[in-house]
Amino acid sequence: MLKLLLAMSGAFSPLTTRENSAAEGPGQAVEQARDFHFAVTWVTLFAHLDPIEAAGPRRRVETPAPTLALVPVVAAPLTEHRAEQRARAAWEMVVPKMIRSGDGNFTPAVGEPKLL
Amino acid sequence: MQPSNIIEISVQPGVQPQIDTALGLRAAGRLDEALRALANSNEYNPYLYTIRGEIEFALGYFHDAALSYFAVVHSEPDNADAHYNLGLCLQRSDRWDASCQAFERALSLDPGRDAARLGLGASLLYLNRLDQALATFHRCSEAAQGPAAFGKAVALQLLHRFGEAEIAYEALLASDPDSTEALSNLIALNVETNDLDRVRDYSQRLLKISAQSPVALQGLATVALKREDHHAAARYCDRIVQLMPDCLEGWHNLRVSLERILTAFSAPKPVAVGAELASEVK
Repeated sequence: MLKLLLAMSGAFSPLTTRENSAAEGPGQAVEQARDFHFAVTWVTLFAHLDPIEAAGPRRRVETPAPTLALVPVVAAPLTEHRAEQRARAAWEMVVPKMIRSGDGNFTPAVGEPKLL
Repeated sequence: MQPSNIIEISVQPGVQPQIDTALGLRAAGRLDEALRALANSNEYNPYLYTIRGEIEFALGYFHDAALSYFAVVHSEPDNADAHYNLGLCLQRSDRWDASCQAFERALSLDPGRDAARLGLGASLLYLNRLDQALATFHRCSEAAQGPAAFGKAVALQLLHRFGEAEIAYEALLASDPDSTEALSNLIALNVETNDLDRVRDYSQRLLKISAQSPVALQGLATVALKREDHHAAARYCDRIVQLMPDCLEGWHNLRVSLERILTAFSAPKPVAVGAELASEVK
C-alpha cells in the first residue's frame, strides 16, 4: 500500500490535463479506464531469416546457344492485299532439332537448326 | 630515353587482394576495416560486392547492403542467393513491397528455398496481404514447419479467424511452451474476443516465463480493470509504468484505479491529494 501511495504522486504528474477527471463531485460521471494497445507481432519469423554467405566466387553458368533463330516480325498486311499475297506466298518452317530422351522429354540438340 | 609515342599504362592488380584482405579482417571480427578494404575497387566484381553486402548486413547497414546486392543481381540475375539476401536487406530497410519481389525472384530460381518463402510471408503480413501470406506459409515444406506454423497463426489472427488462430498457437506452444511471442499474440487475440479468463491464463503463463513482460502485465491489468478489482489493477498498472514510463494508458489506469480505491474508502480524492502534494512542493 505504501508503494501504491508513493506511486500516486507519480501517477498524476504525466496527466496534468484533467479534462476527463470525474472525481470532483458526487454528481459527475466516473472516469473510465483506457484500453491498452495489444499488438500482434511476428518477430519470431525473422529469427529464421539469416543471409546466405558466399562460399567463394560464383562460377558463371554458361547458357547454351538458343536453338531457335530470331526472325524479324513484319507488320501484318492490310486485308485486301492478303488474298493476293496468299496466292504468291512461299512458306518455310524452322524446326528446332531436338533429341528425345529416355523419359520421353525433348532436349535441344547442339548445333544449328536445319531448314526443312 | 622513352619515345614520346609510347603511353604508360598502369597495370591494376585486380580485386582479389582487396577481397583477401577483407575476408581476413572479417574473420578477425574487424568488420569496419573489412568494409573499408573493399572500398574504391577499380573494377566491378560480383564476388566483391557479395562480400561487401554481407559485411554491411552484419554491421546493420541494410540500405547499403541492399545496394551491394542489387549490383550483384543486376550482373547475375540467376543468383538465387543474392536475390534472397537482397530481400532480407530490403525487409530490414522497411521496403516491404520491394522485398516481396526479391523473395519471389529467389523462389522462381529455387522453388525449394523455404527461407525465401518465410521472408515473403513475413513481408506480405506487413503489407496486410493476409490471404497471400497464409497461402505462402502453407507452401512451406516440412523442414520449415515451425516458423511456417507461426506465420499461419499470425495471418489467421489478422484475418480475424480467431478460433483457427488459437488452435494454431496452441499447437506451437505444445512443441515450444516458452514461446513468449505466441503467448503475447494469444493475449491480444483474447482481448479482442473479450475472453477475460483466457487473457488472465495466458498472461499468467507469460509472466512465469518473463517476469517483466509488459504484455502480460497489461493483460492482467485489463482483466482486473474490467472485473473492477481496483487493488489488482493498481498493482499491475504500477508495475507497467515502472517498466514503461511512456505508457500513457498505464498512468491513466493507475490513476483511475487509485481513485476508485480511495472512493471506496471514502478517503480524500486522489486529485486533491495530488494538488496538496504539489502545493507542498512549491
